[in-house]
Amino acid sequence: MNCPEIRRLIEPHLDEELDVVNDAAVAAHLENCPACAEFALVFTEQRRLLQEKLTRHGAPTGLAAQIRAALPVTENGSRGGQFAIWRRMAMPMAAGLALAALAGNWWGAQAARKEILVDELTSAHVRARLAGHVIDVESSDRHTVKPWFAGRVDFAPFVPDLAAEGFPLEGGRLERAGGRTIATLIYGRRKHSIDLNVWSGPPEPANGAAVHDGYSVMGWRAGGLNYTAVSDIAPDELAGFASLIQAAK
Amino acid sequence: MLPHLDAAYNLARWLLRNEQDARDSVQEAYLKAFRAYASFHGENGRAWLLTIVRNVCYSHLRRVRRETQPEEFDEQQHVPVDDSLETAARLRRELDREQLDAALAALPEEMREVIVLHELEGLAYKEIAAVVGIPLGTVMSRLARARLRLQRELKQRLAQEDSHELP
Repeated sequence: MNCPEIRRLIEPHLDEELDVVNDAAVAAHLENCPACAEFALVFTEQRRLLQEKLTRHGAPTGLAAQIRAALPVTENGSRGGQFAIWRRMAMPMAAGLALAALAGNWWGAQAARKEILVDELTSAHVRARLAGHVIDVESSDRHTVKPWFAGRVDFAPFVPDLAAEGFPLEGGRLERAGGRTIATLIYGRRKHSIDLNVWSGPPEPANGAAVHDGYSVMGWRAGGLNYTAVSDIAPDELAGFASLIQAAK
Repeated sequence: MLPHLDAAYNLARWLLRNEQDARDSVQEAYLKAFRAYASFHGENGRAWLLTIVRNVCYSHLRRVRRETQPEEFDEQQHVPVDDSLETAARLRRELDREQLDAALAALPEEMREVIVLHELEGLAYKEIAAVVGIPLGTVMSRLARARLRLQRELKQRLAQEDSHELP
């Protein structure tokens, strides 16, 4: 990457919003390019100024009470009393998992775990496109893509050819999410693309269809491997893709 | 217990630039959130709530604007680009909170809100995309534009200060 490209990525780099590969590329460039390193310093200085001196307006006293008083009275007579509602809204996803696990709530814990996994895979899909690093090995030939993963993951991903069905293979990339090493196959669909994430290990809870942050997600397990497809195409179209993969031999 | 109340108020206060309007809008947003709770699936409570706060604020602004003149933004200011580390350090040393707040308040809303969400509330790009309803790539470019514009405002304020100090 040249200096203008690196500078475009310095802000997301400092925000830790880049994928592993681009992040390493920016860090390496900054070590060797004094001009870009100074640019990053200026940026950091500007950001510190904002964070130190801009006012974060806290809610005025009395506002919470005023809102509670305006909430509708619920059946049990308490005003806005469904505390569970506000509690659930306040919880970050990881806290939901810890809480459910503490309570011995297996279903709750599974649901929270699924939420985190789906969030990680959706983020990977988005990050890759944001930084323009979608593909490590670019090929429509599955006999090129499959061997590329040898030595990079501890299994041989099955790479079906679905070009005739309107899902041409575009390539593959290596992903890491939550300690898993994932082989990601990229299939095209008109102007869109699909990440098909494949990893080995015990069954994971991300099965079935979901919509996360506006992205379609579809998970299943086959042949001892976990599969999760992520894309911005419609959920039923992604389900069609999933059944083609499952039916392919 | 009302979660994310400070974040909700901060966003409303910066968008509306007025304490009473911010209070009213935050209250309206929480009532809406309470009624619309069925549509919340537990993904991200803060982003979900801030989306509602933002919508309430924008409809308030639209109502007010119909009665008054829309704001005009002067895009023609020419300030020499000075991206030196020295200037950045000087801004940080010499500008006070009041000047910072005034500079942010002078930004158009679409820029003001991404700075507030990112720098003050610490939202990730993905969360900002959800709250503002724009694609992720747009979040990145809008943040960059907003920051540039804010720097220009700040440098202007510093220059004004310099000219006041002349005999």
